[in-house]
Amino acid sequence: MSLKGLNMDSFLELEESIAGKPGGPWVTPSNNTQLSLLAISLAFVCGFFGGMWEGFLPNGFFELVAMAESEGASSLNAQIFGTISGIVLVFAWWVTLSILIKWTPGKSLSNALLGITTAWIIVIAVRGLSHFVLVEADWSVVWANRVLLIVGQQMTEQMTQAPGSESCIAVSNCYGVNQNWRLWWILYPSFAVLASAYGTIAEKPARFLVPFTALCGILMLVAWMPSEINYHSVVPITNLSKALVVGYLAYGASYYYCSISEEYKANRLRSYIAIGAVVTFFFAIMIMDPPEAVKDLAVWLGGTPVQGIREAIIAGDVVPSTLDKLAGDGIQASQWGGLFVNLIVATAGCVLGFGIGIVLAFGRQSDQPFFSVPSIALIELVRSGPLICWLWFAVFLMPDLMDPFYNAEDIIRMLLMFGVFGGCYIAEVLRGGLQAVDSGQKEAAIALGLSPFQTKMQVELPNAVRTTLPSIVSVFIGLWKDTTLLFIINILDFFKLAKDLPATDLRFLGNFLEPLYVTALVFWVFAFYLSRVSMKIEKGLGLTSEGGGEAA
Amino acid sequence: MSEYDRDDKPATGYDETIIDTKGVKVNFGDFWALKGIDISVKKGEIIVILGPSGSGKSTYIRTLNRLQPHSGGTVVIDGITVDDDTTVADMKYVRAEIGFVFQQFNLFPHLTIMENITLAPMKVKGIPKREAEDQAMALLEKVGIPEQAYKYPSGLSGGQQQRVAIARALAMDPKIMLFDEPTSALDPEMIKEVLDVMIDLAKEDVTMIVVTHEMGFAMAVADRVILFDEGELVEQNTPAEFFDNPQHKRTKLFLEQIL
Repeated sequence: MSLKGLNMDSFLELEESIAGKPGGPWVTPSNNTQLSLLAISLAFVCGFFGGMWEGFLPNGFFELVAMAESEGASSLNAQIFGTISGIVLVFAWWVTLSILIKWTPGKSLSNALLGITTAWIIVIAVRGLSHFVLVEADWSVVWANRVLLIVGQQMTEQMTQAPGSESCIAVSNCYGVNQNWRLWWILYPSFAVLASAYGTIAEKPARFLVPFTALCGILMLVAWMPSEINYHSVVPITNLSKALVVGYLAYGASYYYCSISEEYKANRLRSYIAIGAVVTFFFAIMIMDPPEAVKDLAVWLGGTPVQGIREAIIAGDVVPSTLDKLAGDGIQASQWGGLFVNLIVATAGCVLGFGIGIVLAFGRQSDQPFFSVPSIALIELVRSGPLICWLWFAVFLMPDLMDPFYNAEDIIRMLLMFGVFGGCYIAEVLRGGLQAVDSGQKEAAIALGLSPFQTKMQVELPNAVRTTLPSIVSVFIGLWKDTTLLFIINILDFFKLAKDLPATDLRFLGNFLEPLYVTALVFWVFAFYLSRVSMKIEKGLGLTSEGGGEAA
Repeated sequence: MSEYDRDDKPATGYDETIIDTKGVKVNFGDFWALKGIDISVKKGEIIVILGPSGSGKSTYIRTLNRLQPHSGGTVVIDGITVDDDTTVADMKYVRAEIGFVFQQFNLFPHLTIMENITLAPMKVKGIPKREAEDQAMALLEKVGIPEQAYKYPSGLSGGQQQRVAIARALAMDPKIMLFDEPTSALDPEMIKEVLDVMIDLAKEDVTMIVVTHEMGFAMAVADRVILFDEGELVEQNTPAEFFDNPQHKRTKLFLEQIL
């Protein structure tokens, strides 16, 4: 009884906070609860049966389900749509009816208006969105092209036309040699770096393991989803499980190491992990299109280039070994595509940008015009132009600058351009951090006999990076979103591919919204994740503050 | 009178001049922080500089390792003239010769205590890591906090941080130690632990110049006490003479206010 009373109290409190204080003269403390129950029961009736009698009241659950089915949605989708919309409808009706029955505008007009407006806005938004997602949209355009969106055109072709894939059951039709192992080789170290980085944060393991497992689970579901599948889902699911295990092991190892070691050892591990991330980036570029030296080495070690034994592989006579694969030609940068391009370009912006940013930040501060003038010129020039201009610059002018030394492909030049662009922004952020370094720190370093360069690298830079890390991460978020601009110069990134998906099949003509929504969702998820990381870093910095003694 | 005992101080023969400054002037715009200071310090000597705030005493010791470039006069450290024309190698030598302890400790917050101490010996002198760490551990034992070696400065009390700062300066094996109000930023209960370390240090063969307001320390360990006021050297004398029989009116006034 008392428990029930408590629940009712908190329910009334919730009601009051949304709908406002009862204002009608007929509301007394004794009938307050009954009136609430009346409101909620009526809300359920309206939410379920609304619209059934000649369109009286907005459509409720049953009408919505019937409507969705008549529009061609599957029964399951219609039920889900009805349920989601029904829940928000009941909520809106409950708010509306509570306001009317208890006449809260009499006491708190603004609260009542705010409550009723918000409730119905939520209904419109949720009903509209779920109607699009579950009834209107035909997601087969995305499912059919999921591999394309992630790895781009050439790798999709090689994957789906490789022996054993869905569209290539008859061996005679197969002509591709699957090259996707390169991506898995990138994914494993990436997951290892990510997971071990989380291991160094002293948090409950569940706070990493649950989202990480969920992420891998979602990826596996996407890989498994049988609708419109054009490959054998066994391989990606097996490899994702391996990546999951790699992540668990890396997390476990670093978590255990940090739990038995002092703080300084954990910090040292963190800097090794940061180095590992940089190494992974360069490894990714190397493994996608290995330089001749690597291929020659693989041949020397006994590998046969896969292109040479293509026929035998397709016929199933030969299973290529790792060395054979390594000895084969890689994927030229011009053939990269999909989400992979966005990821690698954004990572280049971060990794190269951070390096360039450090050089420019110190260059700008230098007393020597030899360093400071070019630094200031580059920073001001790049920062004052929009990224699009610089991408065009990278397409048309950069080859003239670079040709004598290095004939870079489009995407490689994009990597460099993003590096420079990100570097200029990071340089300015770092400059602020460097200026904020306590002058006592520099004096202490000088007094100890450290050279100006050592002072900068050993004392000023670490201090500045610590304080500016959250701002640097927000530069990274900007770079990540900017990678969609690559479509302007016809690089087949995620956005460009998604935009063109309706043209992949006559069936999909006109389905241009679905891929764009998926693009928006994917980019939002990454950006949101990064901003959480930034917040976490900020919090971490607050915890290990600069030490009260220093400031005293 | 003093709470510190100076009986066992080695009777060193002070003959070799290690710091020689003549007519040192420093200006910040129109303001002359130092108006011509002549001080010469012999090897092993312990000098305490007193004076009100803004009298130029900190500025003076900062000119010795050129944290503060002087605008007039000459500064000679161990035979090397310190000015704009000093070569990089000489400057490096001078700074390695001089240990400097700051009022605000200025430990590097991103490094552990151990790394704070070993940074300069490894980077400047090129001492191998293992050796530098052994030496650092010995120094930490000397200042009484070996157990804090692998913590970060933010985890230490002010007194402990200042003792680390002293150990950090000593790690370069300096001939001269300069202390710029080493106890002024400390809570009263932590002052003694730092002064004790400095008194132990004074018994060794190291030249010390200490800017401080700790009269007890001055009386106990100083060979010479110097009073600065408004950028000028007012009086210098042995502590006994200085405190018991001040010559200048300004000194008497200062002592009246302090004691």
